Amino acid sequence: MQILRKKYGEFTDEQLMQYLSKGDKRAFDELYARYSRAMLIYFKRMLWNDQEKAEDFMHDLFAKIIKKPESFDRSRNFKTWFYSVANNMCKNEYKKQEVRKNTSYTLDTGYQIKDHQGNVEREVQESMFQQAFEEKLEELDEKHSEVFKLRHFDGLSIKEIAGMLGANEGTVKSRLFYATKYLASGLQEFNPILNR
Amino acid sequence: MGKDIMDQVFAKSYHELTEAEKMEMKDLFTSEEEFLQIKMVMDSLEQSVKEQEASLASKAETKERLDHLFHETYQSRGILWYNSVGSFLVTSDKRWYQQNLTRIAAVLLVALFSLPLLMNNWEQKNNNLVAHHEPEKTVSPKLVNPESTEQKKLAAVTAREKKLEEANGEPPVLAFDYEDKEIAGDIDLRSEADKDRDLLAPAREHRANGTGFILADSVATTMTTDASFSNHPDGVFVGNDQEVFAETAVSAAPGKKQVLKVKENPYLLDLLTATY
Repeated sequence: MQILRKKYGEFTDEQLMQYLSKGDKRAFDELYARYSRAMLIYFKRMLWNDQEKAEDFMHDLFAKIIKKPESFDRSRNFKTWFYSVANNMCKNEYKKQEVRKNTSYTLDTGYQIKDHQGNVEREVQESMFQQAFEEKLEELDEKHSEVFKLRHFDGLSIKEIAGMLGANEGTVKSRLFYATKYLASGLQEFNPILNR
Repeated sequence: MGKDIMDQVFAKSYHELTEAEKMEMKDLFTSEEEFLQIKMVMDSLEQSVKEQEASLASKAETKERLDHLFHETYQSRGILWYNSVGSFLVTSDKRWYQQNLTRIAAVLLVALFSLPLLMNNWEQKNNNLVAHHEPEKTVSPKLVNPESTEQKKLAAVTAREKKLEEANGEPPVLAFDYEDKEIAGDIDLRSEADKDRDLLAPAREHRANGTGFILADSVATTMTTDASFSNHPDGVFVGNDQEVFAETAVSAAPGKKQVLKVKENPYLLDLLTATY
């Protein structure tokens, strides 16, 4: 029965979804292994760094593909579809809360700049860098910051972001470059090489 | 993490960039200074993200809840053994003509259409063999038209009747010889006495030749005509040899009597019992 033995690790996400829709538990386990942590990070970032809420949202997201696997459009890339579902869940949550809480990305609680040398001067500089980074990111409008976050925090490629947002690749690229350039120019004073 | 032009560019130093890459990224940076500034931000973010991913993990409880939900959902639908067979037969990543199901169906169709042809050939071959081995048919009596034979017989009988009528003036009793022969076959219709005589012929010959054999026609006659000769239910001769063979047979030498007893000559008994 070698012919029927499946190597789930080698399957694409789309193939795994097909097996999952037929009740294949191992296909679900493989998808969970691939996306659970990334989704948790995404939800935590999008939902005010609330880890409990992020856990619940991740659970609901996977529950959706268990209950309604047919909702996955096979013509689409699974990753972008999955992120777009997650994104819609966040938007619904925003509407539900009405008041958008602190959705700004905070490096203080989320992404800490690592202290390699452990000297105080550097720690202060990094802290200042984080603060400046947050301020600059807040200054960006949503469509630019969203693309930037998806690209650099969630690790999606330009093509995947375009697929997720239903936008043109050129548009995504343009937004990403704009946001990156804006942040880099705003943080110019923290560049150690240039400031030597 | 998705790999695109930004990953490729920022993995290199500015001097390593090709003209094509610089053209591609001209909206992002135009000088080495801008390149380094952006790269610094990218590196810092990437490092932070890696740390974040390493420290963050979903709870085991969440997975357990999902597993439970999965079993609840698909137990009701029925996780069937043929799911794996189905996925073997039909897979979404192949074109329809590359599917295993299509291949199997094609083989079955070819078999289905070629089987009647093969069967026809086989039957034809068998018929040829039968025709080759079958001997030339002779006209059996059964195949002869019974009406024609009966009519012939009837005509022959009628002709004979007419002849006899002309000769005697009375119709004779008809007897179909061929039927009698068929029924009688090889059965010997002679009387039992005649048969006995035939069996005892060698004995008579002996006597005639003067060998002193005791059996006489009277014995055989008695055996066949007198029912009380043998009282044995199977008709086996059990009589006293003295009664049968009391009379002296013709002696071998003139003037001398020779007695043959059954005990001493069992073939005599065989001869007698053979008649029964």
